[in-house]
Amino acid sequence: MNPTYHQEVRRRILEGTNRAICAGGVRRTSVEDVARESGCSRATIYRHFPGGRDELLDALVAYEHQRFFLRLSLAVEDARSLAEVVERGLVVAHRALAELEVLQIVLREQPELLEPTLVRASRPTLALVADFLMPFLVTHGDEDPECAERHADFLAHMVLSYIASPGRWDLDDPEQVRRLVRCELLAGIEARR
Amino acid sequence: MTDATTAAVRERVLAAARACIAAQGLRRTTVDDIAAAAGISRATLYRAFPGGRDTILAALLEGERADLLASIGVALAEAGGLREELALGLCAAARWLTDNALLQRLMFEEPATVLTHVEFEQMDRTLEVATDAVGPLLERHLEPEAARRAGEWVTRIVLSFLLFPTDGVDLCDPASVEVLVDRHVLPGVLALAEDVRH
Repeated sequence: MNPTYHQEVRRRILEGTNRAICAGGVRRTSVEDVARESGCSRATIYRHFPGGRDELLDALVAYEHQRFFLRLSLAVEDARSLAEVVERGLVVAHRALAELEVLQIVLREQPELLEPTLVRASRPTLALVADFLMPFLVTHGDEDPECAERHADFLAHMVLSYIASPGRWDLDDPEQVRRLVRCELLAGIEARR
Repeated sequence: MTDATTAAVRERVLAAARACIAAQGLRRTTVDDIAAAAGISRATLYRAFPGGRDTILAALLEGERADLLASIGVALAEAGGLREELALGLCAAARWLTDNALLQRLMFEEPATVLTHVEFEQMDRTLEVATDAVGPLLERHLEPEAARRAGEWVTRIVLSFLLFPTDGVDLCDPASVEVLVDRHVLPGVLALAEDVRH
């Protein structure tokens, strides 16, 4: 099978899994539902995902994860300052998570499904955010890589905190996000300038 | 039931709930388990906690919060300046949270349950309560509004570093905390205070 075609079929199956869950919930979604939604046969699905339903769910989490970071990269690629990177990133991340219907369904219906991912990934989640921020810290002020790494780690902790619980901040309001980023989110690392 | 008996029953229920959750996790702990562990009937339990399981959990969390804040208060009593106050407070909070068997069980074995309940619904409430409690503690060195905002900000740091550990940063180790305070926390708190003034 040629690799692009292989990727394309996987993508179709995962999009189908997503639609099946959004339509019927996690618990009631079967490989048959995914086959119907994606227009692929059961045999094709098992060829790409030999582990069946469980593997589909794991792969969907990974797929959405990847798409999320891609969307984030596109949103901030031409930002002109670190504050602008964090501002845009925060707005896009907040919106993407809120719009990710499948995530809301899983959290509501069967949060334990995310458990293996969370247990394995609670550190990697932090590392992913820090890795994402790292080049922007280097571009916008931190020439010393060790410093940039430390700042990326601290900033990643703050970003995750505000995304998980915005508190009194409304992340849908760009003006509030601007203030939040400049006054609070960057407070712990701005002194470096 | 008299008030005194109700209070005693509530105490017993909460202790039983804590033991059940620590032993078998939150998800698998039912009202029946709690009643059995407390040695009382379901009816007696529901008289003390008419809302059942959810109200028991809420009361349990409320009690844990009060205990945590008390231990932070004790640590801060020894602090001289703002820098020391931040370092001792962070360390006391982290140690309490790490030593708490109940929270550890929840955070590391049922993170999804905790994330959905604590993170997305309760976290804002936790932040609010913590801010109300930690803010005044910082008022010795900061204006009330600055202290309130710094209280919330510092609470976020503690929770985030405990939920997402980083190599080389150990909030339970006073030396490690001092480094974090000097590099990030103190400059951040001062910047917040500055922002409030303008």
